[in-house]
Amino acid sequence: MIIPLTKRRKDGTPYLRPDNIEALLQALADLPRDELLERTSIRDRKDPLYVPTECVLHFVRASRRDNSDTGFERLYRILFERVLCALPRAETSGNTVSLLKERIRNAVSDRFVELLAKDRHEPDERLDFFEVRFDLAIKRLRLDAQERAWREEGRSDPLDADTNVSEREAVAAIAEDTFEANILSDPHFRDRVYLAIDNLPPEQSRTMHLLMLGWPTHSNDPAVMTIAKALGCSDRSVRNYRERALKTLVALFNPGDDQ
Amino acid sequence: MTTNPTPLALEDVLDLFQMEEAHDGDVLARYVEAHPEFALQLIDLSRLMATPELNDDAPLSAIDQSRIDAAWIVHKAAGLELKGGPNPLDALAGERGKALAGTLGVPRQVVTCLRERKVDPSRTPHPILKALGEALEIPEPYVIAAMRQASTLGSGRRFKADGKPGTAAQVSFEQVLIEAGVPEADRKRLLTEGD
Repeated sequence: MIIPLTKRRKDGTPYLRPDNIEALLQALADLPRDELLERTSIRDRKDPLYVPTECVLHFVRASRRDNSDTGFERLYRILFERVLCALPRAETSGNTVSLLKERIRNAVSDRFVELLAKDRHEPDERLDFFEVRFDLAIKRLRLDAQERAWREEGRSDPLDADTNVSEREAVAAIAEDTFEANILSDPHFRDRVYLAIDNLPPEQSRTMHLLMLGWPTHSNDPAVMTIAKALGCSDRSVRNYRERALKTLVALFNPGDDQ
Repeated sequence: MTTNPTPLALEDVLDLFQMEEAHDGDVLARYVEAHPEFALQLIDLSRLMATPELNDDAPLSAIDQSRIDAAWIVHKAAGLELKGGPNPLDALAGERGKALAGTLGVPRQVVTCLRERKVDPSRTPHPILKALGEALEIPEPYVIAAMRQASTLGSGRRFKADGKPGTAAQVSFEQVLIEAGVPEADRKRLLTEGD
């Protein structure tokens, strides 16, 4: 029997695993341990035998009393490998962005170890959401770690409203409009851009994300939510964040144009 | 007379947001409008949700492999039930505690904090756990299990709690070093994870 989750939402309704996860758990529970381990060690998500991490986590949690079972250790290691694979790696260059990524990666993996260890000692419903949407739950841990790391590093893009006009004009010359049009129309390109804006200073990555969601920079209608209002800055600052971000992204995707 | 509902905490707002069916610009705008104090966190979460999952097939580095080894030791220790009797850390009193302080190069009060289970093992570097295991002549998982065991001391030396009232207020090893006035260079040496 697959034990139901116990965590409840604010309105009292329980967290439920998606139907496909619940059905797969039922099927996997009947497999011999060796076969289960073999299937969970598949890392290619497109493989038809791939076991989602929600299920791997479930079996680790359900085996919390298997102290002596080497199979259990193997399963735990597979789970932890997946956590590490879900976190951006630092490049070997050792620059500021890399060091920041490494700090975030360490903080998230440490937090996950802690949560899982506590859950093994005594069932802890904070892990329930990881059995519902594992990738998203890891992103929540990233959010916490990232905010702390940014704060500690003082990582921001402190633009004043008068940042130079000549830079703006130069940036405008490198076909920002075309670039933005590509972002909005090509889903594959959007994915690449999202991975790239992960490395930008917080204000720039937020601005780019909101632009990609179709938010206006400014509006004469006070009822309309704008980027400037949400970020608590002026319209002009938002334009500067956008231009700086686009300059970085255009240089990244069209390196020849920036030379 | 009407009463205002209790304001939601950040975690509750993010929980609600992540459970929405859709996460487009309109939904985000609605949340930011309703919870302007959490606007930045909502935007950051929304951005992370829009970021595609990493499909990293590259082999893990040696550092990652040792990280997994260390994680397994912590996890294994969490499954250990210490039998009755004294906590192994109690042995760090007197000469044994003094010797460990000398080995680590830390003030005695750091060892006292370890003995009193004031230090969170998950926030203690691996080499320190190893040194504790050697000093106490017990395997590392038992060191972690001993550190996790609730302290029997009802009063005495206390640090500011970093958790909610009522929860065990264990602190990081780094915090203990700072409180003990250990210089930054020594802290750096002691906080290195090593291989």
